[in-house]
Amino acid sequence: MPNRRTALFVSLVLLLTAPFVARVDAQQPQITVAAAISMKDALDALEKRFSERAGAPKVTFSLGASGILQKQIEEGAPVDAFISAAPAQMNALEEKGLLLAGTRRDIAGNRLVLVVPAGSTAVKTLEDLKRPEVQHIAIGEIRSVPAGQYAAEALRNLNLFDALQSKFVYAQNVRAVLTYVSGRDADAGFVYETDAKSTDKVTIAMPLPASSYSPVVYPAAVIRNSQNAAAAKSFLEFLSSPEGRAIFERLGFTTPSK
Amino acid sequence: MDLSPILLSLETSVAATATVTLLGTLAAGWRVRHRGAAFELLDGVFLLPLVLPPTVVGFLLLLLLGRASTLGNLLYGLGLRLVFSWYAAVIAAAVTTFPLMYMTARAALEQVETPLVEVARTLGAGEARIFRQILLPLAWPGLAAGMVLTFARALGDFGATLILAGNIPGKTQTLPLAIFFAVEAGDTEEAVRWSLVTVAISLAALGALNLWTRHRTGLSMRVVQQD
Repeated sequence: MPNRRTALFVSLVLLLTAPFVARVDAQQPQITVAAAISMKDALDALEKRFSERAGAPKVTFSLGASGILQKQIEEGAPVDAFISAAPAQMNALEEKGLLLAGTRRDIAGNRLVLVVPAGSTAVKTLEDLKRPEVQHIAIGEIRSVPAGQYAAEALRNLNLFDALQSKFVYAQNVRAVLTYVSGRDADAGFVYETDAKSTDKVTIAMPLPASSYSPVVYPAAVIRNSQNAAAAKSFLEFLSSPEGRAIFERLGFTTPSK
Repeated sequence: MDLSPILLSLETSVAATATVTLLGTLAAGWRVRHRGAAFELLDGVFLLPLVLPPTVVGFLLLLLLGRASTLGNLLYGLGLRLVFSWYAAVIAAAVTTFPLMYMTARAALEQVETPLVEVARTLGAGEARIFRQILLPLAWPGLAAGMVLTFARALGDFGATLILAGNIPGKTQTLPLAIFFAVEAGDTEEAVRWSLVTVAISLAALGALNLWTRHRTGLSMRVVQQD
């Protein structure tokens, strides 16, 4: 029965091509955002809310260390927007003319805090770090980890850096600092407030004086080569809208002053 | 230029190689004399550090020896603070290299012909004497190869060392750590410099070890022939 065979053949073809057809059908605007991995929790929450808007573009993230993302964008990675953990990486892209003019903005801020293992009472202030029973202080590696750069800047301004330097364990990222302190292998450490709030195994001993280090800000911008600049712009605008700000604040981020 | 990463790398690799050569050979010697399913399972445990990514090994060691663990807390009570110490760097390198020494030593010891061992036994030699006077000299080339592998791998350990021993210049910052952080900081010049030093040390050490092994192999062959 040739009819039956034809029907079988047609349905097979339909079945195999359906995923491609579905892709074409569902072609709503789509953007890729390269973002600092330290913002993962916040971005997931923000994207979820953003996707509920009518006609909102679909947002996919490429998460990583800001420095690596910066290099990828410089090499022409097909990215529509970039959210960096520190201004330095964004400045580098701006100097190379890779940002869409007028789209750069600071979307969130953070505070640096001194954390100690939960239940520890040995350290209450920065001065206490000098005491002999404090043997190891975890800090992000100063040349490469932004959190370490801010902490070193603060300690230098407070004239504590030289006295404490011999106790430093230099971590490869701010999350490693958190691991060392929460395991009580380091007696104290410097992390962002948002990191400190992500676990109950550490306690915030004190925030670092805001005047002692440069403001921690997360800059965002649309990339000049974006094929979907309008959609990317609408996502960044959502991030700094009151609704977006509220989500950032709920997770411990601050609102940038600029 | 601070040369401490070079010295630290050599110190930790030599210490780890010495430890692992002893433990790996003893474990292999013990294992060769035992057969059975339970021992096959134990092999799996012995080989685990080779299968797991080094960072995972480091993390598991941190969980085992860190202050939050029972063992770590006990050691801490005794005044032993292993994590972030030079000993932690040696432990990290030793654990990641142990499977290499164990496997090579086992293969080498297994290849020693059993008639020789049995003859020695019927002549009244004890197990320790058999191990020392027959197994070790005959298995020597294989054991030496294990040592070479162990040293090479210990010199290159990054993940386990970073997590267990931390990155403390002058104390636990070995060459691989110095290279990693130079790359992260975008200091290509420093990274290249340390990399070249590492290549030089590896080649020199492997060359020296090879020469020495060949010499020793000749010696042990002569010893066996004379006996």
